[in-house]
Amino acid sequence: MKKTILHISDLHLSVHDSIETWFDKDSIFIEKLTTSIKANITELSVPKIDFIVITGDIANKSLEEEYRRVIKELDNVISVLNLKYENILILPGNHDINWMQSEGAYLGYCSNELKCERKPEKFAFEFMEKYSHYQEFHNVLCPGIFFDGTKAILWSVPMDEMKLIFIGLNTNHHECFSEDYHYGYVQISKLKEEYVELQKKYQDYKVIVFSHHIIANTNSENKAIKNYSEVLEFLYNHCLISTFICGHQHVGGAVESIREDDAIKLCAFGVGSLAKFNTENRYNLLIFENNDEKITLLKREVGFISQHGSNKWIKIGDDNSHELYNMKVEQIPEKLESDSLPTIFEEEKSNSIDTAIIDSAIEPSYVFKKYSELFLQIIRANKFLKSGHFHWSKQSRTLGFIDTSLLFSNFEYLNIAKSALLALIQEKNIKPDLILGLGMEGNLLSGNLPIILNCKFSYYPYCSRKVDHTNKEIQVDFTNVKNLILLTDVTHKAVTINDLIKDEFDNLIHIENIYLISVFYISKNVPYADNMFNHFDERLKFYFVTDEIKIEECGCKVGKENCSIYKNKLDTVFEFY
Amino acid sequence: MICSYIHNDKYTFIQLHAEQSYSNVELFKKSSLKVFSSINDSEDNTELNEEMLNINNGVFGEKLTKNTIEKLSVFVKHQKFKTKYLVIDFSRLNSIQKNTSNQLFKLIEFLTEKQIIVIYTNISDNLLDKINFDQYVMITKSIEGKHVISFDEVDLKDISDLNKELFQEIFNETLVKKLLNDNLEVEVSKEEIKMGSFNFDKEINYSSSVYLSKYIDVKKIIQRKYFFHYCIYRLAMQIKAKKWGKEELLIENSKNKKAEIVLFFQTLSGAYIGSILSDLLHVNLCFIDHIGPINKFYNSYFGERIKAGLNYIVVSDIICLGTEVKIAKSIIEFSGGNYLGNISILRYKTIDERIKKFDNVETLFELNKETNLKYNLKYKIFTEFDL
Repeated sequence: MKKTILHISDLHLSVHDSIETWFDKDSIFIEKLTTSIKANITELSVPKIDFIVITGDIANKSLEEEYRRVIKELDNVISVLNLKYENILILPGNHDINWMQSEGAYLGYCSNELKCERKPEKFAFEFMEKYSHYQEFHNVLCPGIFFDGTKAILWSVPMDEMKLIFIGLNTNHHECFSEDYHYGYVQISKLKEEYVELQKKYQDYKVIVFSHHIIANTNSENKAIKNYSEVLEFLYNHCLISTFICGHQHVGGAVESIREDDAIKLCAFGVGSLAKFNTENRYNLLIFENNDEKITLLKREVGFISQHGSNKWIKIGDDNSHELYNMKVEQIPEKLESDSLPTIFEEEKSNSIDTAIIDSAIEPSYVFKKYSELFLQIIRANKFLKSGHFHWSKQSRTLGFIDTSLLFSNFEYLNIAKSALLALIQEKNIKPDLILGLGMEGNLLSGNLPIILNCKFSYYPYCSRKVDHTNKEIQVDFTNVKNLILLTDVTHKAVTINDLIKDEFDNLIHIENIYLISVFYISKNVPYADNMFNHFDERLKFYFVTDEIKIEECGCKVGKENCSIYKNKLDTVFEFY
Repeated sequence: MICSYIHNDKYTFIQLHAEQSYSNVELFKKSSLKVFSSINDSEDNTELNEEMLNINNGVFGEKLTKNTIEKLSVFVKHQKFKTKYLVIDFSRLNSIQKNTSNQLFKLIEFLTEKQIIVIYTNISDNLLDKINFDQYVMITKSIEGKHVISFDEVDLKDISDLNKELFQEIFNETLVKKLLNDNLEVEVSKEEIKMGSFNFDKEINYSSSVYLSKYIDVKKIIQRKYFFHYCIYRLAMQIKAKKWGKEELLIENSKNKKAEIVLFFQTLSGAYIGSILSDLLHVNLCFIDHIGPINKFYNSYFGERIKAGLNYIVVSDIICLGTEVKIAKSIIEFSGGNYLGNISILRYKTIDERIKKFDNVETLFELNKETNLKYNLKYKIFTEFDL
């Protein structure tokens, strides 16, 4: 038996030209989309789409006219796919919070309280007026599901034949007009309360969670659910939880996956924005199939890609298939005695949880927040962030850069960086056999670390500059190295690391772990996960000190001959290779 | 692990200030966030600042800490000493962390049981007051104003022989053994070229247009991790002690005076050496990427990095004919900086100093006609004219 979900997200439909989407730019966008969906489900031998799940940011400013337009566009989609409104499940995202309504309600309340000479006691996010336009839209689209913004679980849809249940998690508990609350958050007490009720009926069901904000440690506050570790802890201990599916980041791929013995135990992934310009435009087809008491999930990602002057929907990469794993379940008592959660580190529970999950569930520590703040202060005070057009290699081009050679020329700042790197290596419990300093800056950052960590040291030029170094400068002795650290100042797409691994493939064969450790991670578009560069080499893990500074990429194709700024001499181009 | 461990047949030396300098660097790295936070906090954390800043002293630290003595103890317990004497040098240390003296005594007891004669040298009056060695001391002598203490019966002549020249000699021998003997690779021989059997496709790893009979593999030198760090420490002390053509010392304790020297480097190995020196001396750095063996500049605006009026010392691993240093000097001066001189781990002396004198250079080891012969290095530089 199969159940097929069409997962889309982040439509950001606007009517005021404040944001561009393909709905405006391509008059046959819907036609292309539905044609692609139908072709893919045929290819996957799936009879039909069972549900469309939209994980938030459906409108751009949560305006009534935006939702009216959404309904119009969705009507076109479901009519072609032979679906009805009852096949659609939606979740609000942060852009579905109406700031005017939110602020109006809060200020009105405050003014009343003050008139009564009472101190206002409600938080800005507690006013459900923030959902007013979304709620109206929801009532039209999903009349069978009552929308209650105070809830943690907005809907639950069981698939009894497969003993599967989809739940829609409300991660907007704190979102509102106030700048202090622009982040995902789940009300844990409500989650527990509501889950107790659900579990009475669906005790042995495998749970698939849909949410808007992501459920992983990205080191970036407004991307992840702020209290994700509490959410994860609760769900691990009390659900047959296996998969989180989210939106918000406008990128697909694996947000986080944990492998043990080649079986994915837990998987979290997102999807690109369906139609917003200048982002990854994607939809996912998710096929749940049960065979002999096992349920597998097959994910196919399809992207709207420019090819030969026009845009088409094309399958991205290979289909990803994994078995939904049976996690340990503990009974939740009828009445929870206190709000305190069982700790994730209790031994009997940790046996069933991969330590990688525990590691990734730990929040970015206070230490690295402090280092981030320090670096921001330093860079701001000294104007180390430069604008311009920088060609680092054939593939790597940015519209700005952090002048790390100036930054690390100051011995105090260099010391801060080295201390941060040492703290990072020790926090991740890495015991290196060899530190390889990459380029001048990597060597600067390596000073004294090998003697403190009692390991070997060697150096290597950036791969794009290897041709300007002698063989002796490139040769490295990797004998008896099991844990290798590649140390660098800035990581963007890690293209140079990929080149290094390819070039030194034979020498690295016996190495068990490769750690790319960087002071800055600057990529704007790719969300962080420690195995995000796994596709270069599955041994590769990536850690950084701070990702607070994001730098835009040059949008032109690979090769300086394709760079319009370079070709037309529009600006100074700094070439570093 | 101890980095300053050197020995000949009779004496083993350990220089505690070197160990303390690296302990300072390590302790600072581990506690730096407290320092930065306390400096940035508005609360009055004077006491915390003072304690933390004491740790952040590199080579300027004069206090012997528990951490260093523990390292020494661990080393001594696991090391098999083949010499009669273990000489622990206390130069440049003037105080000791509270409640630490006991550990020094335990060390003496342990070594005595092992029948190793321990001699503590270059102990200042100040330090001697703080550590009550009396019950352990067998012999005490004063040499050049500092105290030498032995804790066992020892031939007085053996104590008198403990001088700078002996120490330097042992250091040189150790350097040659650890950094040169194993890492000198045959590069070019005259016979090969004359007979036509030289492989002209072979890559030559130096920037000057000469033939070198041997090539020093810098990466292998760096692999001698502990001794290499000791060499960098000694280089740091040489830089600190030199006036560099000025009327007074330029590098002072960073608490009292802003450092006026910038270390300049232009190679990958230079970056690593410069970084360690920066930790020890608290001086800023400047680099261009890169000069030598292949010259290729990537920073198209390196001129901005060199500030007019600042003093630059070029840091190199090995200086042969000085080609790269000359290029670096030109760049520094063209950009408005003051070129003070250069430092290196090894330096080749290729010309009589009566013809050309180099006042502004510091090196740990000079490879010249005498040392080439003395240590049997068989090093040659030749050109086509010699064939």
